[in-house]
Amino acid sequence: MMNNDATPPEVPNRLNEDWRYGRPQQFAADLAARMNGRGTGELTTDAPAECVRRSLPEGADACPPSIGSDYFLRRALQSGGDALHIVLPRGEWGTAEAPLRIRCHAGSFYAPQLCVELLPGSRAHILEEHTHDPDSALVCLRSYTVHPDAELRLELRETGDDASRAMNISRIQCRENARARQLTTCSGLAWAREETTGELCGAGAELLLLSANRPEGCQWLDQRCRQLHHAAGARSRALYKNVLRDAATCIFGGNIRVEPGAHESDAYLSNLNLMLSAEAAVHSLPQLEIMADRVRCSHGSASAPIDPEQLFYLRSRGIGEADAQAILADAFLHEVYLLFNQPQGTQP
Amino acid sequence: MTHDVDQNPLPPDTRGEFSFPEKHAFDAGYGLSERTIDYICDAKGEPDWLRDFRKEALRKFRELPMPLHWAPEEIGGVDFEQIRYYLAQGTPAKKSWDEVPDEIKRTFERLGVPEQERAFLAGVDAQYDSETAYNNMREELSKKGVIFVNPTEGLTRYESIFRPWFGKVIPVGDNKFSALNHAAFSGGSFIYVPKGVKLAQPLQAYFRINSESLGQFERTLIIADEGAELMYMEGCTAPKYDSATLHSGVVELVALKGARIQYVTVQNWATNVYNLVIQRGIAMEDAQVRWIDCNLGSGLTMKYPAVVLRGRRARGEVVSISLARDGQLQDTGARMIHAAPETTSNIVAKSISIGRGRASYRGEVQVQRGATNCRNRTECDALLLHAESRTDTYPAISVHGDSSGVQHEASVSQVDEEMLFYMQQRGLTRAQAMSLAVNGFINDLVNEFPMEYSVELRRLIDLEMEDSVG
Repeated sequence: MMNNDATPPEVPNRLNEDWRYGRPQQFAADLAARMNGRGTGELTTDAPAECVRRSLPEGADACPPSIGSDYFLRRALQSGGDALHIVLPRGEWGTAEAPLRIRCHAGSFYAPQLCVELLPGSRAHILEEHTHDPDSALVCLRSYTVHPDAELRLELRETGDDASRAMNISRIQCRENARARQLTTCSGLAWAREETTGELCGAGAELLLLSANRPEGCQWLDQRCRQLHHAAGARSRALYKNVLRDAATCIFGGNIRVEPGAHESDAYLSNLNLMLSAEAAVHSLPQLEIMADRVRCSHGSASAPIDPEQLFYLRSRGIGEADAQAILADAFLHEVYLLFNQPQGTQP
Repeated sequence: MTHDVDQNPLPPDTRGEFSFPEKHAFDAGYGLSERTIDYICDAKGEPDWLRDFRKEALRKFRELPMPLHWAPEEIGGVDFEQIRYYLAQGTPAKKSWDEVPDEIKRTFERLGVPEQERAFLAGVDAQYDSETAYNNMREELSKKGVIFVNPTEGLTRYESIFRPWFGKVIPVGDNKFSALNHAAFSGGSFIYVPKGVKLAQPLQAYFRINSESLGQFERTLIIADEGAELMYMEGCTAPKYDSATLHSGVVELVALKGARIQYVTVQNWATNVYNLVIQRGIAMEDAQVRWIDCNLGSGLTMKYPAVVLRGRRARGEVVSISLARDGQLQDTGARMIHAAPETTSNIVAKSISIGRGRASYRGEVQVQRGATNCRNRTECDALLLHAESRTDTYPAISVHGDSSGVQHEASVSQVDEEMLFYMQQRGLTRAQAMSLAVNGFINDLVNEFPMEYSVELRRLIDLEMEDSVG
């Protein structure tokens, strides 16, 4: 939650564990350089007009909590970017082939707020596309609430040029028997930070957080996620996979937190990285904080090069080294897409 | 509660919940200042360079902040002004148990130390409050050039060997507690094993805090020269007092080319003890450093044995068991720094949380730029025994380059009700069944300890379980 003290939050420093290995000072300076008045950008959707409002509802649900980034959250709120509140009542909203679209385009600097609610019994497939003008910065505050028995399938695609920066501060809240899955991909940006706080607030809630990325050049990808089990009998999964080339750097900070009383929680967190360059670097911080018993919680993290035997297998069939590497990288990330696309209700 | 003991030695008492009245010739009083350092240096007869060194460390200690941004908040409870920094009898370490003052001898007899020495040890160092009371090693090892003395003796008699490595593995300014130890250190061990000498039997140190509000700042430096091998075992106990006691040791291991060092710790401090220990080893080419660590007692333990793999093909290993009961926080873990190619490391940590106990794993694995073809595997398992128990895992993994493989896994589980039912059905009480299940959980790690320690360890864990599971 954002710090409510009278003193405004400061730029995260090296003592902020939620920014460990990150570059908050540099991002703050980049933002300041691009901030120009209210900022420019566009936030649109093809959701039916009766479901869309241009102002946010009152209450805490509209503003996502940050993961150690209250400074950026406050700067975004102060910039007064556009807001979009979408409420989807019972029914089917979008399909895999024709998803309901939300488009966000950043000019030099843009800080929009998005709040989406799936009312009980609704099912939605949403594609959120973030695009950038060259050399732009985006700070997007995203909040999704999935009410009881609703189902959300959400894809976030962040694309920009190699001078753009993006930060998404997101929350996905799952109420009783609600199901949500999110897939994020980020390509082309110089620096991106993606924060997702998943909250499981009711028994039978299910959350699946997925991410697949191929950072290259000098890109920095900073990913943080939280699986907060507030209620007993909920289930969450997170799988973040990256294929790193050139001098790319990935940071992953994940946390499974099972609050007191959230017994029978079932949670798993995984961060897997395929290293394709001697210059690439990975920093992985998968965490568990368990304050209830009768739970099933675990995490895993692995960073490794391509298995030489797999490479040999493909090369011995006449495939060149670069193509063989590309095939194996595709195969490595394929699991994420499989999980995202599998029918709702199947247990990953 | 503790009780005074002045009768004949009793059978070994590994819990150590007893104390003797204080009889100290030297007492530096409460708080740490330049005067305290002068007092310690005068009492120990230390050279001027060491006095200046300690004072410089004190300055750093005052400058450095408490690591509150990542450490458990309980560390804020340490009140450095309410600690006594030096308590000693004022007599040199004895080579025979007969010469050791009576109450100290009875303490160690009660803890079973002389008996263990006779049975299977190559040498023993027994520290009572701030100073070594007894230090002895088998004669044939002295003839081979093995050195096993306290650090004060090491710095005076063997300065040319000791000083080049003193504070090099864990520098003064590494963190606040490292600076504190450099300023106030007293007691501990200095061991040097010459080239190619392999010790068949372990050396042992036993750290005993007897007095209330004492800070024990022992310092251990072990150097295994090329091709040398040794095992060092460390045991710790203290009686329980109402005021807080601080144990803040520094352990530095140096394994030169092809050497092997195994360092075994079983700490069973009372719950009023802050156990904040820094342990780090350097492994040169083809060398191996292995930490085997068991933490049962203390109110707050923060201990992360580390290995800096500095030479090609060096290997590091940490095997860790911790058990946290009501009012205890065991914040333990491991660090592996791969700074050379083809280095390998392995971390296995298991923790048990009972009642409101909290056990945390905190670790770091780094594969630095240029350290190619390295491998690390880390496995942390936690067992929660009650609804209010807590466990955490905080690893940090950094990998550079495309030739190394690093794997980390952690899981949390509880004792299966069906398993308990099965055992209870066969006549075991619930507490016995629980104890058996817990022993099963850590069984593979307990087997890594030397036989004498693993037997003791099982007994201690049974005792802890008896009190907590009913």
